[in-house]
Amino acid sequence: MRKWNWIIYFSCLVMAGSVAASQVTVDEDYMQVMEDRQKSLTSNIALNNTKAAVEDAKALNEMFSDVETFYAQKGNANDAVNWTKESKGLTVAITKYVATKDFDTASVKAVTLAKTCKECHSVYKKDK
Amino acid sequence: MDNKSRRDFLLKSGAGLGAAALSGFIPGIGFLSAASAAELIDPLAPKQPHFPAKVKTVIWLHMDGAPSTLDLFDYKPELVKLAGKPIPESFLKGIKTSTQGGITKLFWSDKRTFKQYGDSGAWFSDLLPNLSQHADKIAFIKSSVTVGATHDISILKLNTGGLNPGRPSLGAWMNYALGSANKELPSYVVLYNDNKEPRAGSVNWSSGFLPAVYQGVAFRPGDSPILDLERPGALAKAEQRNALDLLKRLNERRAGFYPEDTELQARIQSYELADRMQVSAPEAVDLSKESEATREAYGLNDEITKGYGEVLLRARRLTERGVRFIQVVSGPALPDGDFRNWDAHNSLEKNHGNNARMVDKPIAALLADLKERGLLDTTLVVWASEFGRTPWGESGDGRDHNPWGYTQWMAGGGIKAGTTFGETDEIGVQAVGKKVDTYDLHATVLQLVGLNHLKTTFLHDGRSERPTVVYGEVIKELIA
Repeated sequence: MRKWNWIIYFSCLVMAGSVAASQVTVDEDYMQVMEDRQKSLTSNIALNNTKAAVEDAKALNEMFSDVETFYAQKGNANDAVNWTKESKGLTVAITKYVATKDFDTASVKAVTLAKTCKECHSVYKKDK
Repeated sequence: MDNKSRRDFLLKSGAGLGAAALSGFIPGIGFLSAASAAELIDPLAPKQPHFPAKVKTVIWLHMDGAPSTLDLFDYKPELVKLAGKPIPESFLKGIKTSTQGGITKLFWSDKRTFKQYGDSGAWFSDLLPNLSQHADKIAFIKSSVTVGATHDISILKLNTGGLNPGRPSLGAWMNYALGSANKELPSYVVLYNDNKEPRAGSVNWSSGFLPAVYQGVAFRPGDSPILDLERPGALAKAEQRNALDLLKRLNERRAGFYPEDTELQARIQSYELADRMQVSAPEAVDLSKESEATREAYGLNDEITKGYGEVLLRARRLTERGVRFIQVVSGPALPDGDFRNWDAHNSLEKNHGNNARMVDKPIAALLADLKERGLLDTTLVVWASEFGRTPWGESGDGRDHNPWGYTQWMAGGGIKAGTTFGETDEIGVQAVGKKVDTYDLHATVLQLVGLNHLKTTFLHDGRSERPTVVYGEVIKELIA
């Protein structure tokens, strides 16, 4: 009986560990990295640098996925989840426009992306 | 300007000219080759806009201290009805109200009255009896928003788009992208009606990471707009000319050995500009030849309106002379009065009574004067402030800062006059519908001077920078 207790105890520990590992932490540092990437994306679109702009857009897409997961796990934040979904869609669109050398439309989409970020920040960004 | 600051001015101008030439980056064109960059010795040479400009000059009227536009333009009958009661919770949804005064009861002065004016039926309060006569010249933006922090930070954002010093002001971007239309004067001038520079300082007309030559030049009130610009009494005109000619010959000889040294070539030009400005700058701001009717119209015969009226009359004269961007910062109604600016945390009636009286007549006169001289079609007048003020009271009879919804306006060339874009909620707490942030206002102003804000770029630290940072949307509804 004692042996089974230990097995259950260790199984719980392993499960708890894997749940913790699947949780995404989106903190101020993470957001700063995203902001820098966004500025880099805007710059690379302006410089007509396809390769770097596509890299930035794809990196942002992945980061927005993390943000979406974070707010979905947090709960009671449907608006944040929707904003991140919209942002992911915009990064996909930007990748497409940049790949076809349509930098003008990509620039406009990047502005919409920045505005979407700002809308979310107006609700969720903590004052220092 | 003492000898040191005059040297600084010349050095900065020289360094700026050189840096622009060395960077070789021209808006709308991109990078030039090294050889042609070396030939680029005049960064203030006129440059082509991205598309035909609707206006040549921008007069940027910054209302320092942030007026309550609820008491000037944005009439809210519901606020009148609810005055003295606590603010309904629903109006505060989605905003963080960490302003210093806390949230108290809704406030309305029983002295305030509103009326509609012109064919457009725009609302004006009793505080603006003269400006209201120009209702049909104005396009209102009633859904302005910004970042609400301290005055200094929000003023910086209003002028540069940044929350920290270091970004170029809107005027500097315009100067950089279009160059000068008058070689005798700075193409970006800052005016103010105070006995000291505006409180938020020169970072608000800085060229930031752009070459220094594009920064605004502050003209002091009074007869000598730039300190010590005039030739020292002991130095005859011919003597100065001889000295400058000798200096020019020596510099040119040196430049012949080092043709790639664009900084030196720029320095040669900056000495000549300073020499020309000794004549042109005082003449441009000399109001003695203005008619008595004009002086009266601008309020120069009234103690309250005199200072601001003089500044706006100078703005008109600079507009006539082709200055591209004129930034006017409102000062105190009376030099030694109680209210230094519009920041009415208390005694709103007295504060706004003085400040509105100070600007109302001169701005109305400016609009009428520009129209009469055929300049309004090519000039854009912008009424801007760092934020607005809350519908709830502070200290009993004042109002706190409101970055969530307030009114700014534009008048002049290229705008849809007599219209209103956007609105605030029923009591004026926050903008509803499409909001207009500082970046959108900047993008719209640039559009009117012929510049695509997305393509007005400068390479700084390996990154392409633009006036609107990563934001900005032209408010097409405001453009005719």
